[in-house]
Order: sequence, then structure tokens, then C-alpha cells
Amino acid sequence: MKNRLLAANIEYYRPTTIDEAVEQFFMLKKENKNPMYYSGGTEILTLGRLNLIQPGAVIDIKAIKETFSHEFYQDHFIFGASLPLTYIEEKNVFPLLTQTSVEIADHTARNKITLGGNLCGEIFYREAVLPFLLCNCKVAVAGKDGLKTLPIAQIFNKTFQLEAGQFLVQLFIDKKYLSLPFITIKKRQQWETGYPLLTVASIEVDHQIRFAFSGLCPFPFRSQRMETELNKTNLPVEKRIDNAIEHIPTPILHDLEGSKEFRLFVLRNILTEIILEMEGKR
Amino acid sequence: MIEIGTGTKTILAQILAERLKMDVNDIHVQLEVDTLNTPEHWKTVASRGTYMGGRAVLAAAEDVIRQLKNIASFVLRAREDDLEVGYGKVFIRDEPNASIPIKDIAYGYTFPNGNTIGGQIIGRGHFVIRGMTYLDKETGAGRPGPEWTVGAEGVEIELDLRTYRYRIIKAVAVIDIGKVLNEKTAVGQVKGAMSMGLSFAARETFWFDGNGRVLNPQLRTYRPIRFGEHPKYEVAFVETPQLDAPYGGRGVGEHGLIGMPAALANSLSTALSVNINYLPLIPELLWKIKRGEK
Repeated sequence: MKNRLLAANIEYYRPTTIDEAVEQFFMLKKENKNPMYYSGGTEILTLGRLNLIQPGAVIDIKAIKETFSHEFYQDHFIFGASLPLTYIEEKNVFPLLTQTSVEIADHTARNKITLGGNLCGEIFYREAVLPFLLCNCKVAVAGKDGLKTLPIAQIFNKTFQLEAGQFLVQLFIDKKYLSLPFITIKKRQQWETGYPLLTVASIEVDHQIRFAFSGLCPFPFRSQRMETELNKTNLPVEKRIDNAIEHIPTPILHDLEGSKEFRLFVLRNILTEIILEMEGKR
Repeated sequence: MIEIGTGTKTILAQILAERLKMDVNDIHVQLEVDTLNTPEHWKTVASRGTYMGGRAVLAAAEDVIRQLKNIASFVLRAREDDLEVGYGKVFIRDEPNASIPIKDIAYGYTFPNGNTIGGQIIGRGHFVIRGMTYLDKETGAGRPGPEWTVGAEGVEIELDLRTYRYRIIKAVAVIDIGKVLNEKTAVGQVKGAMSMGLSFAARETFWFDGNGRVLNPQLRTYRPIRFGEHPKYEVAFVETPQLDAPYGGRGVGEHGLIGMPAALANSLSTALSVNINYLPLIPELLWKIKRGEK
């Protein structure tokens, strides 16, 4: 195992346009330099120092102005991928995203962690994706065929299914979602520090509660089948939760943060809390 | 000894100032250990820095006083046992106007006619604890340590009986410190120790796999208590002097830590009406114990 200073052996590029960035990527790939797109850098630095990744070159996308969008466009609000999480929290256009985001890492780290970086990270919690899953957002992705915009359901399955050379540029939220009732709850192994034992984000749309989860499985997800069960208001809440648990994707996490059994216990408590609160207001 | 943030060298300077009846600001403290001029030391351990270092400082002060009196007795034409050292001077006890500034004799004394006596005064002192023995391997009998420090600690918590999550509202420690030599550093020592104790009690631990490998070797998974997670700390002292310690002070460095895990576990045991005898006291453990799984 090489023990080296991370920065010493890495080429750094800072293109100013999307096309330039993609072109740079393929050029570096051809030279076998294992290029990676770079925004906040927190994961590249920490995983690089553990030798879990070995980029030969990084392409910093923070000079590309589209990645800093934070504005309304027609019926949508656009979030650029390079926005630092704390910037999004301070502007607080989308309170559900703010409240999910403030629980990630710590404030100092979130000054660096970008939205795109959290969404596309290796560390599998990727909690910032939960609000976007709940709102069926659209995603603008750059690649060798230019800029494409897709519904999140088409490109996100556990992770963003990006091909080589593709990177996330923007996310579009239909503005009706910005002010709908929501609840987001994060529980850790203990107190306020650490990765999630379980994070559940929820939003109520047309008397239906949508749920998205992180820390339950080794990937964040939203499950139509679980939502169907949880919204069967003719059944007792406990029964609805029992039925929903049958449809949790596999595997359920069983690790340092907590056992599978305890996670399910915590899940039951959180779901009960959300359902009682949301339905109580109707 | 090494200053590891305990403030012990500050207290050693206070002890020296007290014994030499001088301003503590006139004492130069070399904080760093430099093997060029720092005497060989044993260890900075066992919450005994003030006790052992303090006794060594007092011994060195006696050595300095003896040397100062010796040279001053020539200058003042007085018996050594009629002399006192203090306030930057050596003076005759019953005739204090007859004195000589320490600065005029600390490097030897030169008479008006040029004759010189004495030389640079360097005090030496050391201390080892009396009467220590090895422990008997069979019976454990023996004397491994000096005095005891006693204390009492408690916590006030708020526990959610449905989720097993809890918050520590307040942590209290009362320690018999013998004599408070420096209140701010003593309180700091105890509060710091209490926070370490609560951290060990409630979260901070190594998790191992079946082969004994540490599974949480980074601070993102090995998590000491952090800013924002602390309770309110309250510290008070009782003073029962330890007779052989400098000015009566007892060891206090680690004592604030020891009671915290037990205090927290006792409070949780009371709240849940079960005996909780495992660490760390995370909500999952409480849930398991309550379900009879541990």
C-alpha cells in the first residue's frame, strides 16, 4: 500500500463549460488517468487518504455556472449540483431539503459538501436525495451526448446510474412541492453525532403520504409498495406498518450503527409518529 | 513531569511562590520538556502530578532557602537559623530591615572591596512515595498506592420510555480534593473528566469483528462526546487535607471520570426498573435489556 500525500500525484482541471468538462474527462480517460469529477472534494479527499479510491486526475466542476443555479424557472425551482449544503440551508427555499440536509455531517463539512457530491457519493446514506425522490424531480445530466433531462425514477436506482463521463448538473423540483407539509426524522445510534441509524423523509401530496428512507438498507430508496400499504387508512396504523415492512428491499442493514431488529423497532416508531402527525392534521 | 493540559505546572509555580513568599509572576516555568536540561522524570500518571511534583518542588525550595541563608549569614553577620527568605530578600527575623536582596546573592556575593563568595544557586528536589510494595501475586495483598480521593457523582436524565432515547440534563460531582490549590484548573479537570466519563458511558467505544479487528478506526465512527451533546456540569469540592501532600491537596485529575458510567447506568436502571451492567449505554442496549435479550 502506497502511503502518499493525496494532492501530490493528482492532476487538477477546472473547466468553465459543460462541454469542456466532458471533453477533458474523455481525454484523461484515454490517458488512463482515472479521472473523477470533483465538487466539494470531501469524499475524494477522505476516501483517497484511505486509498479506497485512486484518482489520477480530478475535474473540478465548480467553475461551471449552471452547477450553481438556485432559481425559479417556469414551474420549477432549479438546484445546481455544486451548491454547498449550507448555502441551500441558509436560502431555505425548500424546507424539507433544508431539514434533511442540516442533519448531514457537521456545519463545517457542509460548507464544502455540495448537493451533487452528497447525491452521487460513495458513502451510501446520500440523505440529500430523499426530498428529490419524494418530489419526482427531474435531473439534468451532462455527458458525451450533451445535456439530458430525465425523471429521477429513470436514473436513480440505489445510486445515480451515471455512465462514464456523465455528471449531475441540476435538479428541477416542481414548485408545488416547495411548501407541502413534510416531516423528516433522523435517528442515530446515540445523540446528535454520527451516520444515520435511520432517516425517514416524508411529504403529504393529495392526502397521500410519501416516504423515502436512508440507513434502512445500504442505499437510499422510495418504495411504491410500502407507500401503498402505509396509506391504507381503513386499517389500524400498526397493521399498515406491519404490511409495509414486508416490502422493505433487501438487505436491511445490520452493522455498527445498529442491528436489523433494532432498526425495525426504530422504523416502527418513526412511521407511527409521522402517520399520526400527518393524518391528525387532516 | 509533563504538562498535558492539566495546569499542574501552574500549580507547581504557585507552590514554589508560596514557599518562597514571592510573586508567582517572577517564576519562570519551562513548559516544554527538553532533554538537554529537564531532569529524568518517571511518568505523568495516576493523578499525582501535584502531589509528587509539588513535594519535589518543596524539597527544591528548601534546598534553595538553605543555600540562600548560608551565603546571607556571612553578609548579614547572623546565624542561619535567625534568617528568613521572602519578598525577594533574605532578612533577619526579628530585625527585618537588615536584609539582602536575593538578586545580590543568587550568583554569589561580591563585597565592596571585590572579595567574592558563593556561586550560582541551583535548588534540587525529588520525591518518591514512601512504603510502596509489589502486590502479592496470589493474594493481591500489598500497598500499590498512596492516599485515597473520595467523591460522589450523579446525573439527571430524561428518558423516552417508548424509544429508549435519553438526554443527560445535568451531571454533578463533589470531590474531596484535600485543598483547592487553583480553583479554575481544578474545576476544569473535574468537568473534563466527567465529560470523558459520560462519553465512555454512553457512546465512545471500539467495536471489534470476530478476529479482533477494530471496526471503527476513524472519528467518523469512533465518536467521543461532541460540542452540543454536553449536559450542564456542576462541580463542588470538600476539603479534607492530605497531611503529606503539598498544602493538603489530593489527586483530582481522573477522579471526576470514574463515577460517571455508574451514575448514568444507575439512573437508567432506575428509570427502566432493570439492572443495566453493560457499556456503552446506547438506546439499542436498553431496548435489548428491556426485552430480556441481554
